[in-house]
Amino acid sequence: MITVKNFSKSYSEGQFAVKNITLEVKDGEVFGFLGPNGAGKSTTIKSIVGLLHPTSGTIQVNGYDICRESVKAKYEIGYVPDEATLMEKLKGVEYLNFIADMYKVDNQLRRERITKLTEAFKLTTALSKTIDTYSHGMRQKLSLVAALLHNPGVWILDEPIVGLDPESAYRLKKMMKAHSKSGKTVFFSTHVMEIVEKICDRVAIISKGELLFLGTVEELKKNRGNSTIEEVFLEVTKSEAQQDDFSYLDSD
Amino acid sequence: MISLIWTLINAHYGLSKKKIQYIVNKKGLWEPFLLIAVFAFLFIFVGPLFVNLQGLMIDQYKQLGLEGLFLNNAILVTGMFGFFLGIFLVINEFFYTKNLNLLLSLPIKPKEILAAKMILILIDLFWISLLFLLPSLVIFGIKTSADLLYWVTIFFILAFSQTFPLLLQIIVLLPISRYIHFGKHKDFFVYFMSILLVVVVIGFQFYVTNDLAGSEFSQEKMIQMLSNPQGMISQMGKGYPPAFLGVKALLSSGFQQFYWLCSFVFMHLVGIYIALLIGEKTYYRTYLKLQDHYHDKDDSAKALSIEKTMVSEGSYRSLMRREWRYFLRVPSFAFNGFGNVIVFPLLIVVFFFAKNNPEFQQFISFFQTAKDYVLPVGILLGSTVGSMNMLASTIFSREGKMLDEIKVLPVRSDMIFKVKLSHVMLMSTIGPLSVSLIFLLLFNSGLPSVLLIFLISELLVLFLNLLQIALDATFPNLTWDNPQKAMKQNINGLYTIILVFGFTGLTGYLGYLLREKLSGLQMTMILLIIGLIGVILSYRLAKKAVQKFLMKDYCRN
Repeated sequence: MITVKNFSKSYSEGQFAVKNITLEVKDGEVFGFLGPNGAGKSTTIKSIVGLLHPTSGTIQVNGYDICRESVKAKYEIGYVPDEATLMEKLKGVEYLNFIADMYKVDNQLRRERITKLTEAFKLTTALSKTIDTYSHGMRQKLSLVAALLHNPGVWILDEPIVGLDPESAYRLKKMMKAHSKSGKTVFFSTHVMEIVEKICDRVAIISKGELLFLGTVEELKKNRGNSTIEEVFLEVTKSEAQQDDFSYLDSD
Repeated sequence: MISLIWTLINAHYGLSKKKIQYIVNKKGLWEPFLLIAVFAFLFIFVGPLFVNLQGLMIDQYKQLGLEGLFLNNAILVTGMFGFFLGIFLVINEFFYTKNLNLLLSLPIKPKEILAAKMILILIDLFWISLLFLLPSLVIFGIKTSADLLYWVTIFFILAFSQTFPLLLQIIVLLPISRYIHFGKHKDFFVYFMSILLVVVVIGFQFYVTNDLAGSEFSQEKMIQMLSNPQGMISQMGKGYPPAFLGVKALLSSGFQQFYWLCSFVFMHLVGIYIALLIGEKTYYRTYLKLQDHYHDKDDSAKALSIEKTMVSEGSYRSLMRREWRYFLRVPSFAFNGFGNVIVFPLLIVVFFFAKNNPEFQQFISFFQTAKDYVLPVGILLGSTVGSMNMLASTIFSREGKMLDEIKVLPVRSDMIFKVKLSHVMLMSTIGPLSVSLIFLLLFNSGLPSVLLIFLISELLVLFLNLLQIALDATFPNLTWDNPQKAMKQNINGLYTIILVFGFTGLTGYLGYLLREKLSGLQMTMILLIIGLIGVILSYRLAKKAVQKFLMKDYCRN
């Protein structure tokens, strides 16, 4: 479970990246976190995992305050960043071993999970190569395997689908669903509305640092006259994209 | 072309970012001021000494009628520095920076990209000329009351001072890189070049000390040399043509001066053209091969025995292993880290093996006459060599974007501090250890003295390392695109030089002043007390700085 209470984050005085957000992600839920670029999604996610510190408000993960009990809270989390910054000079398997050591995963469990997860994402043969030879998608997959290695209760995934091939993306969506079915939590951000519609139990929409909507996909669509989720998103975020005229692109 | 060069310079030095930081956000304004203060300090305190030394040298050369040799040496030394430092810059700029992926996709001629990159490297190398060549040329001009043409010629000499070294690097590196397929082993290549550099420096030192000390360098040879200074300059010019042409252009007058200056400029322009030609013919193919390597879809890599490699370790050992792997597998880190603590002891060993070396004999006899002060001298030497590692002052800067990886782990900041300190201390220990061994083997110091030298040096190294860690945790440089920037081009390295040499210089100078009042043993005890108090105070300081640093937001969004 993730509890965010009155959370605000400011990088420079008077300018807020996120303003007074309150939300709760319950156990057994797949929660989609949506918003345009620069809306404050990554700031919120980075604050939930302890990379940034809230300017005000509190964040708890499975009952642990991320600032005051950060180590305990981090054990509960499996985090995939928006940009997989992995140690390039390590081999894939060395990196996974390092992560497993950090989360105190015993030998048997790590063998089992590394084998199964790397097979699922077709990464096994790449494990003996250094990460600097990996493609963007492979890095994303390695980051996913590393995040899920210690069997965390709360998955926090920042745009996890980006860079994945359709097969891996399908598998990940299935995993997310299965994880929530087993009573655990999945919190993820995405720009792909189809995924939101398919797998999310609830969604939050954030724009310019403010929470604009919190509820189920059905509630969202109902409130806005049953349009497609993409149209609803554009409407909620007050986007002018629908009125854009692009005829100039092909004019002589 | 101008836009391309300007954009590369902007990205390389982070000018726009700095502009936003200093002018728009008005953050960290103290940084440029501190930098100016450091240079002003060096200028005020070291400047007069440097000017005096240069003046004395010019007078001595003048008395022998060899003033041309002074200029020759200035140009040659600047070129040599440029050549060795430039090797790393060329490799970085041509093979490491990722902007080529972007540049290659743009409708720009290969020659233009090469020229822009060469200009960027030249600007980097130009700092060496400003530091080593400009002062010598200016002091020489003032001392000899040079005419206007001399000052005009200086401009050209300075402008082209790093061109020849760069041309040599390009002419050597680019074709070689094509044939030895270093794209597949780029790290190995950097290691190889780094070791070669150390071997060349040590070999050069060995040759010079042996040659000057040997019987071949007779009085007769000296007289012969002094009787024909022009011949000697010509002889040296064969080895380094820019120095020969530069000296001729600076010392001639009238039409001759114009002729030599034109020759100097012409030679460089032809060289640039040849380098561009070679670069275009060899570099692009090499670079594409490099790209092939990264897109290698060959899965023939040995099937991994996962079972064998998956063994659990404790957090400390695992973090330590990560630290070592990261350090050893990034050539810039490994070479700089090892190089800084190893090169100095190696040079002393070379001195020793250069038999009949009068300087070494002098050194030995000095120690024999001042035996009482062997302990404090050894301790200061050990602590200086050990703490000039550049690892402590870049301890967090080296993490760069990887910092998030550390921050997200479920480990306490104390553990990270402990691991990083242990790693730095393990590397630093090479300094006191090698100095102790030198004192044991070369200066025949007794075992108890050597042990004291080792232990107290180690204590002082710990103290100085902790201060450097606190410095880097407070002012880290995390936004670099190639590892060299995290080490060599990190401003914290400059502060380290000031800190370490400041400490050694100050304590050494005080020791020298008080040599009549204090015995060597008393000085040793004082150093021990400084070390103990220093460690207690700086340990807390560094630990707090690390805690604060790991709590701090370094958002790059």
